[in-house]
Amino acid sequence: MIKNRRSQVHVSETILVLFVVIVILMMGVVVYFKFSVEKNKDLAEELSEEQATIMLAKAVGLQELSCDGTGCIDTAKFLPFKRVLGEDFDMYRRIFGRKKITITEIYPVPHDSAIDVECDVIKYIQMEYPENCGKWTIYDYNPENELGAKISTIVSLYYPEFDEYRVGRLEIEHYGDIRR
Amino acid sequence: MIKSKKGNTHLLFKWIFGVIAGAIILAFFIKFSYVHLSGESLIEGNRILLTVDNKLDAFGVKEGTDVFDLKGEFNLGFDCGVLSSGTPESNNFFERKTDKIIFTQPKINERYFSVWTKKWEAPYGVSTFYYLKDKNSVILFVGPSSSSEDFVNFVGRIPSNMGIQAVDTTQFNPGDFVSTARQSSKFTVVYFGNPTYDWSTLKSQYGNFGDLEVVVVNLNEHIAEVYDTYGNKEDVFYFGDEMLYGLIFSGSKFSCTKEIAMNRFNLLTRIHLEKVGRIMSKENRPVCVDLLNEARKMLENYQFALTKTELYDLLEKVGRQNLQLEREDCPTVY
Repeated sequence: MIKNRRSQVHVSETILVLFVVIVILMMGVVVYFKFSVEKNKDLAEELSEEQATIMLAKAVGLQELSCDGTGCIDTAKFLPFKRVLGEDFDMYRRIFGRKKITITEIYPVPHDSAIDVECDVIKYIQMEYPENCGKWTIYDYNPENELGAKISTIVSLYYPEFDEYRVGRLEIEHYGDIRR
Repeated sequence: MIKSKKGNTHLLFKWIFGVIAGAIILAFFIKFSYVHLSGESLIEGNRILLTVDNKLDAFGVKEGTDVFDLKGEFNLGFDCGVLSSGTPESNNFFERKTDKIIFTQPKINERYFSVWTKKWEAPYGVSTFYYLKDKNSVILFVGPSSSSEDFVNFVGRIPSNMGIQAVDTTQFNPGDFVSTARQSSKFTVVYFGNPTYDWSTLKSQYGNFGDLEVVVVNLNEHIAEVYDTYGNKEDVFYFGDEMLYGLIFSGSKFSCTKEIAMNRFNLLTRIHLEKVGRIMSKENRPVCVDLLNEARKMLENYQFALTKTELYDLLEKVGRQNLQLEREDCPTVY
């Protein structure tokens, strides 16, 4: 009876030891994975920022938006580009990925009523254009509603309708992800 | 005796338990290592593709030429808008779609490779073309270097680090290049004008060493014949010199990349067409409205042009119309 109990105690001890060992190992694995995921997340963010910086330079020279060979951005191409974007979104998703690209006019300073007002077809056909709006959202793809980091650069905006140059800011909001 | 057997049973039970538990823990760690290693390899494989893609992106902002150092030998593949690393059958094979128009050989296995970027204008900027070549791929131009200025200018625009060799048609002797062909993985002979040796003759000279491709270019007609490594012939036309460089660097892989380029051309034409339409609505000067209207009609035709003749004809017309708009101080197409 006593031996039977002793052997039962031995078995319980073994199970306990194994259980503790497994728990410790599991904790180790969980901590390792957490660090590993964190490291990969940092890497993805680093790569995303690198990509966004390159994109900033690339967007200024992108034939869909730029003036031909003069280093400025042609505002008359924005609305046609948005239309084409709607028709070929997959292609542009491959170019831009998960980002938001906006262009804001900063000089001459827009009227208070035009600040942050999106320029669209309706605004364009009005006589007041380009004084009636001050911002174009060129591209926006953020399917998971992530919080993004922003980088920007100053660009020269050309209005061919009025043969006029203005100063704008090209801003790219990127979402810490290199997926497309 | 019975007690001893009971003791043995306990011991046996402990061993069985220990072995099973040990096996489960071991299996868990093997699985863990496998997941970890394949995860690391996935990151590394994708990282090299992303690095190449980003480097090309950064380099393509302006026209230029350079030699890229990948800091290691990678099996890079370029197939019609898709970048890949590794061998297709292995576990470490990764692919990434790219928006760039890259004219190159199908595989680059070298640590260093040459890159040349050139803007394609038709007549407005359409895209940046990338030409890639490693030193194992040899391109030999055979043309009238003493009599054709077009040929000399065409060859002269290629940067020296792309490693193109050129020889005059009258002096071309296939036997002189056997040792060069022996050291190459791909050997492309590009004839400008009538070929002095046909594909089968060249195949008998160079075919044993690597892939042989022959391109016969007609600069006046903007057409070419491409013979792949099996001798299959394909007739193609190119739209602009930039595309002809593409044909030379990509050989038999040209048609697919050309299609991507033409899709992009179509897209840019649509943008310019709509831009002209919008500008017209803001324009009051009748001269400008008339000129813009003509430009719009040309772009409409340009958008749907398919043949070489139509494309070259409209290319010239749109260019001239833009110049006319500029002269009249009107808003221009591009």
